[in-house]
Amino acid sequence: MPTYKARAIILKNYKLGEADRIVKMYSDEGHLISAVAKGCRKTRSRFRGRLELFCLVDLELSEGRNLDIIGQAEILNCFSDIPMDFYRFVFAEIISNVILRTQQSGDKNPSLFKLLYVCLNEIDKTEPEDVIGLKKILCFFEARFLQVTGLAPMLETCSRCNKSTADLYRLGNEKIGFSIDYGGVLCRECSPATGARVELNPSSYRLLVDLFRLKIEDLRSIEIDPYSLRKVCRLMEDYMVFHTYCTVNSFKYLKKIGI
Amino acid sequence: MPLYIKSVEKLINEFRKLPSIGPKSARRIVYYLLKQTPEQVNNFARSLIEMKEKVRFCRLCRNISEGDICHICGDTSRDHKKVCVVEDVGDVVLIEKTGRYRGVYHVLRGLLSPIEDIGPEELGIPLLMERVRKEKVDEVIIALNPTVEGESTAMFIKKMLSPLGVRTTMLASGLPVGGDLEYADEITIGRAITDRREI
Repeated sequence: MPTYKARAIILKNYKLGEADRIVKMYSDEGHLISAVAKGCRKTRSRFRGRLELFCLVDLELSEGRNLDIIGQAEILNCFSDIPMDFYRFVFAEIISNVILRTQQSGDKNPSLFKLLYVCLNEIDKTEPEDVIGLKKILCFFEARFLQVTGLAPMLETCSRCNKSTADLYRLGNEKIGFSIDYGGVLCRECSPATGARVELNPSSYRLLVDLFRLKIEDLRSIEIDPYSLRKVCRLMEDYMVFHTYCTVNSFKYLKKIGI
Repeated sequence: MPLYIKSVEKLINEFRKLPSIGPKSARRIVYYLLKQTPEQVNNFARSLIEMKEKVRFCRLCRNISEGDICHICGDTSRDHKKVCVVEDVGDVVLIEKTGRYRGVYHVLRGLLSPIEDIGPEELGIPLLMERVRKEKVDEVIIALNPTVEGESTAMFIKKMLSPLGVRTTMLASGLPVGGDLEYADEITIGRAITDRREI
Protein backbone atom coordinates (compact mmCIF):
# COMPACT_ATOMS: atom_id res chain seq x y z
CA MET A 1 0.00 0.00 0.00
CA PRO A 2 1.44 3.43 -0.92
CA THR A 3 2.16 5.67 2.05
CA TYR A 4 2.20 9.42 2.43
CA LYS A 5 2.84 12.04 5.10
CA ALA A 6 0.50 14.79 6.16
CA ARG A 7 0.26 17.57 8.69
CA ALA A 8 -3.33 18.05 9.80
CA ILE A 9 -5.74 19.32 12.44
CA ILE A 10 -8.20 16.78 13.82
CA LEU A 11 -11.80 17.87 13.40
CA LYS A 12 -13.88 14.86 14.36
CA ASN A 13 -13.52 11.34 15.78
CA TYR A 14 -16.02 8.51 15.41
CA LYS A 15 -15.89 5.17 17.17
CA LEU A 16 -15.44 2.24 14.81
CA GLY A 17 -15.84 -1.40 15.80
CA GLU A 18 -14.29 -2.69 19.01
CA ALA A 19 -11.33 -0.35 19.49
CA ASP A 20 -10.82 1.67 16.29
CA ARG A 21 -11.66 5.22 15.41
CA ILE A 22 -12.39 7.08 12.19
CA VAL A 23 -10.54 10.38 12.31
CA LYS A 24 -11.53 13.30 10.11
CA MET A 25 -8.92 16.00 9.72
CA TYR A 26 -7.97 19.00 7.62
CA SER A 27 -4.46 19.00 6.19
CA ASP A 28 -2.06 21.91 5.68
CA GLU A 29 -2.36 21.28 1.95
CA GLY A 30 -6.01 22.17 2.37
CA HIS A 31 -7.93 18.98 1.98
CA LEU A 32 -10.11 16.79 4.12
CA ILE A 33 -8.62 13.43 5.14
CA SER A 34 -10.63 10.56 6.60
CA ALA A 35 -8.55 7.76 8.07
CA VAL A 36 -8.80 4.83 10.45
CA ALA A 37 -6.68 4.65 13.61
CA LYS A 38 -6.62 0.96 14.43
CA GLY A 39 -6.83 0.02 18.10
CA CYS A 40 -6.65 3.68 19.10
CA ARG A 41 -9.22 3.31 21.91
CA LYS A 42 -7.17 0.73 23.75
CA THR A 43 -5.30 2.10 26.76
CA ARG A 44 -2.02 0.71 25.43
CA SER A 45 -2.39 1.98 21.89
CA ARG A 46 0.51 4.06 20.57
CA PHE A 47 -2.05 6.54 19.19
CA ARG A 48 -3.75 7.07 22.54
CA GLY A 49 -3.79 10.79 23.28
CA ARG A 50 -2.27 11.66 19.93
CA LEU A 51 -5.46 11.76 17.92
CA GLU A 52 -7.56 13.99 20.14
CA LEU A 53 -9.83 16.70 18.77
CA PHE A 54 -8.19 19.92 17.57
CA CYS A 55 -4.64 18.50 17.81
CA LEU A 56 -2.19 19.53 15.09
CA VAL A 57 -0.41 16.31 14.18
CA ASP A 58 2.21 14.96 11.82
CA LEU A 59 0.96 11.71 10.35
CA GLU A 60 2.12 8.84 8.26
CA LEU A 61 -0.75 7.25 6.41
CA SER A 62 -1.19 4.41 4.01
CA GLU A 63 -3.79 4.60 1.30
CA GLY A 64 -6.73 2.29 1.82
CA ARG A 65 -9.60 1.29 -0.43
CA ASN A 66 -12.18 3.55 1.20
CA LEU A 67 -10.40 5.08 4.17
CA ASP A 68 -6.68 5.62 4.67
CA ILE A 69 -4.95 3.98 7.63
CA ILE A 70 -2.91 5.92 10.17
CA GLY A 71 0.50 4.35 10.74
CA GLN A 72 2.17 6.96 12.93
CA ALA A 73 1.11 10.15 14.68
CA GLU A 74 3.12 12.85 16.41
CA ILE A 75 1.59 15.86 18.19
CA LEU A 76 2.84 19.31 17.17
CA ASN A 77 0.30 21.41 19.08
CA CYS A 78 -2.58 20.06 21.12
CA PHE A 79 -4.28 23.36 22.12
CA SER A 80 -4.48 21.92 25.60
CA ASP A 81 -6.51 24.81 27.06
CA ILE A 82 -9.51 24.30 24.77
CA PRO A 83 -11.03 21.40 26.77
CA MET A 84 -10.39 23.23 30.05
CA ASP A 85 -13.29 25.59 29.36
CA PHE A 86 -16.60 24.35 27.95
CA TYR A 87 -17.27 27.54 26.01
CA ARG A 88 -13.90 27.33 24.27
CA PHE A 89 -14.75 23.77 23.28
CA VAL A 90 -18.16 24.79 21.91
CA PHE A 91 -16.73 27.51 19.68
CA ALA A 92 -13.89 25.25 18.47
CA GLU A 93 -16.50 22.60 17.62
CA ILE A 94 -18.63 25.11 15.71
CA ILE A 95 -15.60 26.11 13.62
CA SER A 96 -14.69 22.46 12.94
CA ASN A 97 -18.29 21.77 12.02
CA VAL A 98 -18.28 24.50 9.37
CA ILE A 99 -15.25 22.92 7.69
CA LEU A 100 -16.64 19.39 7.97
CA ARG A 101 -19.96 20.38 6.47
CA THR A 102 -18.66 22.55 3.66
CA GLN A 103 -15.46 20.87 2.49
CA GLN A 104 -15.35 17.61 0.61
CA SER A 105 -12.44 15.26 0.03
CA GLY A 106 -10.86 16.45 -3.21
CA ASP A 107 -11.29 20.16 -2.44
CA LYS A 108 -8.01 22.02 -1.94
CA ASN A 109 -7.79 25.20 0.10
CA PRO A 110 -4.52 25.72 2.05
CA SER A 111 -5.67 29.17 3.24
CA LEU A 112 -8.50 27.50 5.09
CA PHE A 113 -6.02 25.41 7.08
CA LYS A 114 -4.15 28.57 8.12
CA LEU A 115 -7.43 30.19 9.11
CA LEU A 116 -8.44 27.14 11.15
CA TYR A 117 -5.07 27.07 12.91
CA VAL A 118 -5.15 30.80 13.70
CA CYS A 119 -8.69 30.57 15.10
CA LEU A 120 -8.01 27.47 17.25
CA ASN A 121 -4.86 29.15 18.55
CA GLU A 122 -6.85 32.25 19.42
CA ILE A 123 -9.60 30.20 21.13
CA ASP A 124 -6.91 28.38 23.12
CA LYS A 125 -5.57 31.74 24.38
CA THR A 126 -8.98 33.18 25.32
CA GLU A 127 -9.70 33.71 29.00
CA PRO A 128 -12.12 31.14 30.52
CA GLU A 129 -15.79 31.97 29.91
CA ASP A 130 -14.94 35.00 27.75
CA VAL A 131 -18.00 34.61 25.53
CA ILE A 132 -17.56 38.02 23.87
CA GLY A 133 -13.97 37.14 22.90
CA LEU A 134 -15.09 33.76 21.55
CA LYS A 135 -17.94 35.32 19.55
CA LYS A 136 -15.44 37.75 18.00
CA ILE A 137 -13.30 34.79 16.92
CA LEU A 138 -16.32 32.97 15.48
CA CYS A 139 -17.36 36.08 13.52
CA PHE A 140 -13.78 36.51 12.30
CA PHE A 141 -13.66 32.86 11.23
CA GLU A 142 -16.96 33.05 9.38
CA ALA A 143 -15.98 36.26 7.59
CA ARG A 144 -12.56 34.95 6.55
CA PHE A 145 -14.03 31.57 5.64
CA LEU A 146 -16.33 33.35 3.19
CA GLN A 147 -13.34 35.28 1.87
CA VAL A 148 -11.11 32.23 1.27
CA THR A 149 -13.96 30.27 -0.32
CA GLY A 150 -14.80 33.17 -2.64
CA LEU A 151 -18.16 33.92 -1.08
CA ALA A 152 -17.42 37.18 0.73
CA PRO A 153 -20.29 39.68 0.73
CA MET A 154 -20.05 42.94 -1.21
CA LEU A 155 -19.43 45.74 1.28
CA GLU A 156 -17.99 48.47 -0.94
CA THR A 157 -20.57 48.46 -3.71
CA CYS A 158 -24.31 47.87 -3.73
CA SER A 159 -24.98 44.17 -4.22
CA ARG A 160 -28.06 44.96 -6.31
CA CYS A 161 -27.01 47.81 -8.64
CA ASN A 162 -23.20 47.75 -8.19
CA LYS A 163 -23.07 51.47 -7.33
CA SER A 164 -20.23 52.49 -4.98
CA THR A 165 -21.32 52.78 -1.37
CA ALA A 166 -18.03 54.26 -0.10
CA ASP A 167 -19.86 56.92 1.89
CA LEU A 168 -21.73 54.33 3.97
CA TYR A 169 -18.80 53.90 6.31
CA ARG A 170 -18.92 57.56 7.25
CA LEU A 171 -22.65 57.58 7.95
CA GLY A 172 -24.10 59.03 11.11
CA ASN A 173 -27.20 57.29 12.44
CA GLU A 174 -28.64 56.03 9.19
CA LYS A 175 -29.35 52.29 8.99
CA ILE A 176 -27.75 50.29 6.21
CA GLY A 177 -29.58 47.56 4.34
CA PHE A 178 -27.90 44.19 3.82
CA SER A 179 -29.35 41.53 1.58
CA ILE A 180 -28.33 37.92 2.13
CA ASP A 181 -29.88 36.88 -1.19
CA TYR A 182 -28.10 39.57 -3.23
CA GLY A 183 -24.93 39.00 -1.21
CA GLY A 184 -24.01 42.31 0.36
CA VAL A 185 -24.96 45.84 1.33
CA LEU A 186 -27.59 47.86 -0.49
CA CYS A 187 -27.42 51.51 -1.52
CA ARG A 188 -30.03 54.07 -0.41
CA GLU A 189 -32.06 53.57 -3.61
CA CYS A 190 -32.04 49.76 -3.64
CA SER A 191 -32.57 49.22 0.06
CA PRO A 192 -36.28 50.15 0.22
CA ALA A 193 -36.96 48.13 -2.94
CA THR A 194 -35.45 44.92 -1.52
CA GLY A 195 -37.89 42.94 0.57
CA ALA A 196 -35.84 40.50 2.65
CA ARG A 197 -33.09 42.68 4.05
CA VAL A 198 -31.31 43.06 7.38
CA GLU A 199 -31.02 46.57 8.77
CA LEU A 200 -27.61 47.31 10.26
CA ASN A 201 -26.86 50.24 12.49
CA PRO A 202 -23.58 52.08 11.78
CA SER A 203 -21.63 50.25 14.52
CA SER A 204 -22.78 46.83 13.24
CA TYR A 205 -21.80 47.86 9.72
CA ARG A 206 -18.38 49.05 10.93
CA LEU A 207 -17.84 45.75 12.70
CA LEU A 208 -18.80 43.86 9.56
CA VAL A 209 -16.27 45.83 7.52
CA ASP A 210 -13.60 45.38 10.22
CA LEU A 211 -14.05 41.59 10.19
CA PHE A 212 -12.85 41.51 6.58
CA ARG A 213 -10.15 44.15 7.06
CA LEU A 214 -8.48 43.68 10.45
CA LYS A 215 -6.06 41.04 11.67
CA ILE A 216 -7.30 38.86 14.50
CA GLU A 217 -4.87 40.53 16.98
CA ASP A 218 -6.37 43.95 16.17
CA LEU A 219 -9.89 42.63 16.39
CA ARG A 220 -9.15 41.23 19.85
CA SER A 221 -8.30 44.66 21.21
CA ILE A 222 -11.20 46.70 19.79
CA GLU A 223 -14.28 47.37 21.93
CA ILE A 224 -17.48 46.03 20.41
CA ASP A 225 -20.94 46.55 21.84
CA PRO A 226 -22.70 43.21 22.53
CA TYR A 227 -25.72 44.15 20.39
CA SER A 228 -23.62 44.74 17.25
CA LEU A 229 -21.59 41.60 17.88
CA ARG A 230 -24.73 39.50 18.21
CA LYS A 231 -26.31 41.08 15.15
CA VAL A 232 -23.21 40.58 12.98
CA CYS A 233 -22.64 37.03 14.26
CA ARG A 234 -26.20 36.12 13.34
CA LEU A 235 -25.90 37.83 9.96
CA MET A 236 -22.61 36.07 9.16
CA GLU A 237 -24.07 32.69 10.05
CA ASP A 238 -27.30 33.20 8.06
CA TYR A 239 -25.25 34.46 5.11
CA MET A 240 -22.90 31.47 5.29
CA VAL A 241 -25.75 28.95 5.59
CA PHE A 242 -27.55 30.55 2.63
CA HIS A 243 -24.52 30.58 0.34
CA THR A 244 -22.84 27.28 1.31
CA TYR A 245 -25.99 25.21 2.00
CA CYS A 246 -24.36 23.90 5.18
CA THR A 247 -26.56 23.56 8.24
CA VAL A 248 -24.62 25.18 11.07
CA ASN A 249 -27.10 26.07 13.75
CA SER A 250 -24.75 27.48 16.35
CA PHE A 251 -27.22 30.03 17.70
CA LYS A 252 -29.73 27.36 18.66
CA TYR A 253 -27.01 25.50 20.56
CA LEU A 254 -25.60 28.62 22.23
CA LYS A 255 -29.12 29.40 23.45
CA LYS A 256 -29.44 25.83 24.74
CA ILE A 257 -26.35 26.22 26.92
CA GLY A 258 -27.41 29.65 28.08
CA ILE A 259 -25.07 32.02 26.17
CA MET B 1 -32.96 -15.62 -8.72
CA PRO B 2 -32.93 -14.55 -5.05
CA LEU B 3 -29.99 -15.88 -3.00
CA TYR B 4 -32.00 -16.56 0.15
CA ILE B 5 -35.58 -17.37 0.97
CA LYS B 6 -37.51 -14.35 2.23
CA SER B 7 -37.62 -15.16 5.96
CA VAL B 8 -33.86 -15.92 6.08
CA GLU B 9 -33.00 -12.76 4.17
CA LYS B 10 -35.18 -10.68 6.47
CA LEU B 11 -33.42 -12.03 9.57
CA ILE B 12 -29.96 -11.53 8.01
CA ASN B 13 -30.88 -7.90 7.33
CA GLU B 14 -32.06 -7.45 10.93
CA PHE B 15 -28.77 -8.82 12.33
CA ARG B 16 -26.78 -6.61 9.96
CA LYS B 17 -28.27 -3.57 11.69
CA LEU B 18 -26.46 -4.51 14.94
CA PRO B 19 -23.12 -2.83 15.74
CA SER B 20 -19.98 -4.69 14.56
CA ILE B 21 -22.03 -7.21 12.57
CA GLY B 22 -21.41 -7.32 8.86
CA PRO B 23 -23.10 -9.47 6.20
CA LYS B 24 -20.88 -12.52 6.84
CA SER B 25 -21.41 -12.52 10.61
CA ALA B 26 -25.14 -11.98 10.13
CA ARG B 27 -25.30 -14.98 7.78
CA ARG B 28 -23.32 -17.10 10.25
CA ILE B 29 -25.69 -16.23 13.13
CA VAL B 30 -28.75 -17.05 11.04
CA TYR B 31 -27.32 -20.44 9.96
CA TYR B 32 -26.51 -21.16 13.61
CA LEU B 33 -30.08 -20.34 14.65
CA LEU B 34 -31.45 -22.59 11.89
CA LYS B 35 -29.62 -25.50 13.50
CA GLN B 36 -31.13 -24.82 16.95
CA THR B 37 -34.25 -26.54 18.29
CA PRO B 38 -37.49 -24.50 18.16
CA GLU B 39 -37.39 -24.23 21.97
CA GLN B 40 -33.91 -22.67 21.97
CA VAL B 41 -34.92 -20.19 19.27
CA ASN B 42 -38.11 -19.37 21.19
CA ASN B 43 -36.05 -18.67 24.32
CA PHE B 44 -33.77 -16.39 22.36
CA ALA B 45 -36.66 -14.46 20.84
CA ARG B 46 -38.49 -14.27 24.19
CA SER B 47 -35.39 -12.92 25.95
CA LEU B 48 -35.09 -10.16 23.36
CA ILE B 49 -38.72 -9.12 23.68
CA GLU B 50 -38.68 -9.41 27.46
CA MET B 51 -35.56 -7.28 27.68
CA LYS B 52 -37.13 -4.57 25.54
CA GLU B 53 -40.42 -4.65 27.42
CA LYS B 54 -39.02 -4.74 30.94
CA VAL B 55 -35.97 -2.48 30.75
CA ARG B 56 -36.48 1.20 31.32
CA PHE B 57 -34.38 4.00 32.72
CA CYS B 58 -34.05 4.78 36.42
CA ARG B 59 -35.81 8.06 37.24
CA LEU B 60 -33.00 9.06 39.61
CA CYS B 61 -29.82 8.19 37.75
CA ARG B 62 -30.84 7.24 34.16
CA ASN B 63 -29.20 3.82 34.51
CA ILE B 64 -31.05 0.83 33.06
CA SER B 65 -33.53 -0.72 35.45
CA GLU B 66 -36.52 -3.06 35.57
CA GLY B 67 -38.38 -0.88 38.03
CA ASP B 68 -38.94 2.80 38.63
CA ILE B 69 -35.50 3.03 40.25
CA CYS B 70 -32.44 0.85 39.56
CA HIS B 71 -30.93 -1.69 41.97
CA ILE B 72 -28.05 0.69 42.82
CA CYS B 73 -30.24 3.67 43.70
CA GLY B 74 -32.55 1.34 45.65
CA ASP B 75 -29.69 -0.12 47.69
CA THR B 76 -29.78 1.58 51.11
CA SER B 77 -26.39 0.13 52.10
CA ARG B 78 -24.67 2.31 49.47
CA ASP B 79 -23.34 5.79 50.10
CA HIS B 80 -25.95 8.13 48.59
CA LYS B 81 -23.82 11.17 49.40
CA LYS B 82 -21.41 10.27 46.58
CA VAL B 83 -22.49 10.40 42.94
CA CYS B 84 -20.30 9.14 40.13
CA VAL B 85 -21.08 10.64 36.71
CA VAL B 86 -20.45 8.25 33.80
CA GLU B 87 -20.99 8.53 30.05
CA ASP B 88 -22.76 5.24 29.41
CA VAL B 89 -24.55 2.35 31.08
CA GLY B 90 -21.54 0.10 30.36
CA ASP B 91 -19.28 2.36 32.43
CA VAL B 92 -21.35 1.60 35.56
CA VAL B 93 -20.44 -2.08 35.20
CA LEU B 94 -16.75 -1.21 34.70
CA ILE B 95 -16.61 0.84 37.90
CA GLU B 96 -18.64 -1.73 39.83
CA LYS B 97 -16.15 -4.41 38.75
CA THR B 98 -13.33 -2.55 40.55
CA GLY B 99 -15.16 -3.10 43.86
CA ARG B 100 -13.75 0.20 45.13
CA TYR B 101 -16.79 2.40 44.81
CA ARG B 102 -19.90 2.14 46.96
CA GLY B 103 -21.70 5.32 46.00
CA VAL B 104 -24.46 5.89 43.42
CA TYR B 105 -24.27 6.90 39.76
CA HIS B 106 -25.59 9.37 37.23
CA VAL B 107 -25.57 8.10 33.64
CA LEU B 108 -25.34 10.87 31.05
CA ARG B 109 -25.99 8.57 28.07
CA GLY B 110 -23.78 10.75 25.84
CA LEU B 111 -21.54 13.82 25.93
CA LEU B 112 -22.23 17.47 25.19
CA SER B 113 -21.80 18.09 21.48
CA PRO B 114 -22.66 21.19 19.45
CA ILE B 115 -22.24 19.19 16.23
CA GLU B 116 -24.83 16.62 17.27
CA ASP B 117 -26.97 19.21 19.08
CA ILE B 118 -26.66 17.42 22.44
CA GLY B 119 -27.16 19.89 25.26
CA PRO B 120 -27.44 19.69 29.08
CA GLU B 121 -31.14 18.67 28.96
CA GLU B 122 -30.39 15.59 26.85
CA LEU B 123 -27.76 14.46 29.38
CA GLY B 124 -30.03 14.90 32.40
CA ILE B 125 -27.76 17.53 33.99
CA PRO B 126 -30.76 19.35 35.58
CA LEU B 127 -31.74 15.96 37.13
CA LEU B 128 -28.24 15.56 38.56
CA MET B 129 -28.37 19.06 40.03
CA GLU B 130 -31.75 18.37 41.59
CA ARG B 131 -30.40 15.18 43.16
CA VAL B 132 -27.33 16.96 44.53
CA ARG B 133 -29.56 19.64 46.05
CA LYS B 134 -32.25 17.30 47.44
CA GLU B 135 -30.05 14.53 48.80
CA LYS B 136 -27.34 16.92 50.04
CA VAL B 137 -24.66 15.04 48.10
CA ASP B 138 -21.16 15.87 49.33
CA GLU B 139 -19.07 14.61 46.38
CA VAL B 140 -19.63 14.27 42.65
CA ILE B 141 -16.99 12.14 40.93
CA ILE B 142 -16.79 12.76 37.20
CA ALA B 143 -15.68 9.55 35.51
CA LEU B 144 -15.77 10.51 31.84
CA ASN B 145 -13.29 9.51 29.15
CA PRO B 146 -10.15 11.69 29.17
CA THR B 147 -10.91 12.99 25.67
CA VAL B 148 -11.56 16.58 24.60
CA GLU B 149 -15.33 15.94 24.53
CA GLY B 150 -15.25 14.16 27.91
CA GLU B 151 -13.22 16.87 29.59
CA SER B 152 -15.31 19.70 28.18
CA THR B 153 -18.46 17.99 29.45
CA ALA B 154 -16.77 17.55 32.85
CA MET B 155 -15.92 21.26 32.94
CA PHE B 156 -19.52 22.15 32.14
CA ILE B 157 -20.86 19.89 34.92
CA LYS B 158 -18.35 21.38 37.35
CA LYS B 159 -19.48 24.89 36.38
CA MET B 160 -23.15 23.97 36.88
CA LEU B 161 -22.46 22.35 40.27
CA SER B 162 -20.18 25.02 41.69
CA PRO B 163 -23.03 27.27 43.02
CA LEU B 164 -24.29 24.24 45.03
CA GLY B 165 -21.01 24.04 46.93
CA VAL B 166 -20.53 20.33 46.28
CA ARG B 167 -17.02 18.86 46.02
CA THR B 168 -16.38 17.90 42.39
CA THR B 169 -13.56 15.49 41.54
CA MET B 170 -12.36 13.82 38.35
CA LEU B 171 -10.73 10.46 37.79
CA ALA B 172 -6.94 10.66 37.86
CA SER B 173 -5.21 10.29 34.53
CA GLY B 174 -1.63 9.32 33.81
CA LEU B 175 0.45 6.33 32.88
CA PRO B 176 -1.34 2.97 32.54
CA VAL B 177 -0.30 0.04 34.72
CA GLY B 178 2.35 -1.97 32.84
CA GLY B 179 2.82 0.82 30.28
CA ASP B 180 6.18 2.03 29.02
CA LEU B 181 7.11 5.71 29.45
CA GLU B 182 8.77 5.69 26.02
CA TYR B 183 5.45 5.05 24.29
CA ALA B 184 3.39 7.54 26.28
CA ASP B 185 2.31 10.73 24.53
CA GLU B 186 3.18 14.24 25.72
CA ILE B 187 -0.29 14.96 27.10
CA THR B 188 -0.36 11.81 29.24
CA ILE B 189 3.15 12.35 30.64
CA GLY B 190 2.27 16.00 31.33
CA ARG B 191 -0.87 14.96 33.21
CA ALA B 192 1.03 12.29 35.13
CA ILE B 193 3.51 14.94 36.29
CA THR B 194 0.76 17.43 37.21
CA ASP B 195 -1.29 14.84 39.11
CA ARG B 196 1.71 13.12 40.74
CA ARG B 197 1.19 11.79 44.26
CA GLU B 198 3.36 11.30 47.30
CA ILE B 199 4.61 7.78 48.03
